[in-house]
Amino acid sequence: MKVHFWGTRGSLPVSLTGDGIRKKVFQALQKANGKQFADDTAISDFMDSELAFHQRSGFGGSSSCVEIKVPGQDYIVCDMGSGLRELGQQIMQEHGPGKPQTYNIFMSHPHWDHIMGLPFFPPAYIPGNKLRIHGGHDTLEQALRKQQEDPCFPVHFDFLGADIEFIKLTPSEPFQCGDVTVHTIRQPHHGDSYGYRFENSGKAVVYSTDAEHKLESEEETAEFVDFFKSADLLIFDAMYTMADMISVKEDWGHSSNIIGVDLCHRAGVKHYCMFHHEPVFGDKALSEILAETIRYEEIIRDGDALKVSSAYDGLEIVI
Amino acid sequence: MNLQEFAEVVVLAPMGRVDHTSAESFQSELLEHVGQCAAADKHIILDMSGIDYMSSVGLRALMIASKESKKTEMSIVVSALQPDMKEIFEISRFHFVFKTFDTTAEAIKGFSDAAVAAWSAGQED
Repeated sequence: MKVHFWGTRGSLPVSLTGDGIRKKVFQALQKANGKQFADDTAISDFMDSELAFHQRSGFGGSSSCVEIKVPGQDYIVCDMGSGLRELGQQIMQEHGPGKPQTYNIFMSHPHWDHIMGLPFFPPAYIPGNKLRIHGGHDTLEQALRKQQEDPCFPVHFDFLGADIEFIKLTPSEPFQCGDVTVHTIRQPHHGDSYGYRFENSGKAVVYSTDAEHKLESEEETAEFVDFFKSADLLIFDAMYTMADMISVKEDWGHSSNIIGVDLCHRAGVKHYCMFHHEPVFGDKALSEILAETIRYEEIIRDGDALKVSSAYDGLEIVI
Repeated sequence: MNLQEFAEVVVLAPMGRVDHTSAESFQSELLEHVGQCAAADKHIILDMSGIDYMSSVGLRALMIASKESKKTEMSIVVSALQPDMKEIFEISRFHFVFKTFDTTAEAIKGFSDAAVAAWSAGQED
């Protein structure tokens, strides 16, 4: 399996400003300080070795959209945030309009940042394509139709040419999507959200975003520890710092970076990937939070090491 | 959780590791002390020198204690964090939630002369 992150930002898409780009260029030139490069490879090597991630690159700003790639299987996509637009662009380049495809979409919930990409997903407009939209909410179709109604959007849902089907999933009832077994869990969030565990060929990837793990009940926590059990990759809502999450942002529906580490340790997860980044955090802040989370994992570790990473738009993880 | 009183100040000293296996008892004991101190117009110094580490569920217990204290006039401050715990406080941003002091002796100086005198007398014993 491969996991491709098309959108990793929480709540609202963001964009790097001109000032932000200027800062990165400035820091790169400052670091180079008149250095001569023999060729393009030398420039790339310099960028990779001498510049920090937040200086040479960045986390991107599209909202939630993650593709689970399984060889020989139809498309599997988690959420339709603004990152879906870029996935659609790539699909159009790869297949063009003439090769019908099936897209299995798994929706965490119908909040705006998780559905806003659909009107900008070209394959949805092409007759012959199939969109099978899975989720635990009864309101998914209503939400998707509403966002394309007047006066919010000029192209109505009924104008989408693809064959669109809604499939209601029930927690604790495994669902077969081709050769991929999908498990569903209801999560604590305003109006509920749903997490998914994708299993294929002995590997497991869990997509669990927009979930507020308050740690109030050991019974509820243990249910998630069981759902995450021995996962090869856990994509986890790590939007806030711990203090923010349980004080000023309590009941906002999101978790913290260090709660993710603790749950991974208990569940024996191999790779913890922080996701649904707070839109007010810039690239430097997100890099610092990643470094702090790695350090927290080292301090608190009482067994095997856990790989800790932070998702960014364009990241691909091979399982 | 060891307890010592110095005038209007109660120094609480929890011990060991606070994780999902021990957080519930840590929280209930801490909140019991918070309730008692609030009723007796006393303040709390949490002497953390005996805490090896604390996971998120333990930090949550501290936050609940902080919220409870804010319903009254009492204050809770934290002292003597071990290096790992100091890092955990910074990573979790709990150093913005609690006023922290390197030592309990420094923490007590923020309270009344009577508390400082009682503390000093205790150190001489």
